Amino acid sequence: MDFNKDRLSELPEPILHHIFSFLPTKEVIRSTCLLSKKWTHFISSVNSGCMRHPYDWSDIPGLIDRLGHRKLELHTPNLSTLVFKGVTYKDCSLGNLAVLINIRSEVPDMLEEFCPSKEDDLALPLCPLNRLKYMAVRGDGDANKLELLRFLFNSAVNLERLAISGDGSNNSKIKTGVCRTFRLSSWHYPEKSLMLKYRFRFCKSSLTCFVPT
Amino acid sequence: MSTKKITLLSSDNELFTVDEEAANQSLTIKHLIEDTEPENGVPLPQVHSKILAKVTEYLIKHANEPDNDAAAKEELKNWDDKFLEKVNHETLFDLILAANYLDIKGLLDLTCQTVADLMNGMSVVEVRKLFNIVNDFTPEDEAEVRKRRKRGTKTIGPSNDQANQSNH
Repeated sequence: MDFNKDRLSELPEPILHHIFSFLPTKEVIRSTCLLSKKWTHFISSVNSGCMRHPYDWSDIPGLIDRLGHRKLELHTPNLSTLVFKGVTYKDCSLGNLAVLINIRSEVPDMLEEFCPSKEDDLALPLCPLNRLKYMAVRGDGDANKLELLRFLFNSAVNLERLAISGDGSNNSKIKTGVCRTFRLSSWHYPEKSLMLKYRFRFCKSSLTCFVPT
Repeated sequence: MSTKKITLLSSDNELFTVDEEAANQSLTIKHLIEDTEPENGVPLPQVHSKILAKVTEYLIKHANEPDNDAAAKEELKNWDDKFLEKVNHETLFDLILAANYLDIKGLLDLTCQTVADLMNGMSVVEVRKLFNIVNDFTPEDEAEVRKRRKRGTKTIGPSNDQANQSNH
C-alpha cells in the first residue's frame, strides 16, 4: 500500500466540504489556501451554505485574483450570511463595475445578509440581491461608491434591514425598496460624531422602524 | 421485533452478517435490500473486507442508539473515540469513502470530524506533512498569498470588536 499518497486531496469535493464544515472558518482558510494549487480551487468553491460557522471571506479575493481564478463560485443554495471583505472598489469605474457584476455567482439566491465591512473598501456582492434581507454598508461621499450603493439598494428590492455607517454625501438620494428597518450606525467608524449625510427615500408604507444611533 | 439477518458481501467476496436494524443505518444497503431483495448477500463491490469489518463493527454498536440515557450516550461517544483511535490515515480515508458510499451519516460525520480535528490548529506546513500534500506553489506565489492573508487578518480584528461593542 502506498502510504505517501495524498489521500486528502483525492477525496471528492462534497466530502472535503463536509470535513471543513467541522472546522472554524478562519482555520479553513488558514490551513488550506496555501496547501497546494488544487486547494485554492477548493477554497474558491467552498460550500459556505453548510458551514457550521459563519463564513468570512477576507483572505480569499486577493488569493483568487493572484492565482488567476477570476470567478468565485459559491455553491450555496442556503447561504444566509456573506461577509465579504477585501474586494477593493477603489480602482473601480462604473464600466469596471459591470465586469465585476458579471462574475457574480449565480447560485446563492437565498442570500439574506450582506455585510461588507473593511474600511475604505466597499465590497461587491457576487450574487443576485433580490433575496437580500439585511445589508450593512459603510458609505462615504465617493461618487463611485455612491453609484454602487445605489445599485445595491435598487437591486435589493426585498431589503428589510439596512445599517449604514460612516459619512455620507449631501445630495445623495437613494431609493430603498421595501426596507422595513432602517438602522444608522457608526460601528466601523472611530469618530462617532460624524454625521451621516445620505438622504433616503422610503416607501413609507413599508417602513416600520427607524433607528438612528 | 425483527431479528432478520442481512449478509453483506465485500469487494473481495468476504461475507459479513448483521441484524437488519444495524444494516439499515446505511441508506445504500437499505435501498439495495428494498429494491433487489438479494439472496446471496448484499454486494458491496466498492468496499474491501478490511474496511467493511470496521463498518459493520460501527453499525452493530450503533444499532440501538440510546435516546434519553445520558450515561449510555457518553459510553457510545467514548466508544466512537476509541473506534478511530488506532486507525491509520489510509484506513480513515477508506472509511470516509465507505461511509459516503454506504450513506451512513453517523459514520461519515465521525470520520470527517476526526480529519478536521487532526488539522485543527496545525500550520500549513504541518498539514502538508500530515497528509502528504505536495506544495506546488512557487515561492513568489506563496509569499504573495501570505502577505495578502496577513493584511486580511489584520482588518478583521478591530471591525469585529467594534461591531460587538455596538451590539451590547
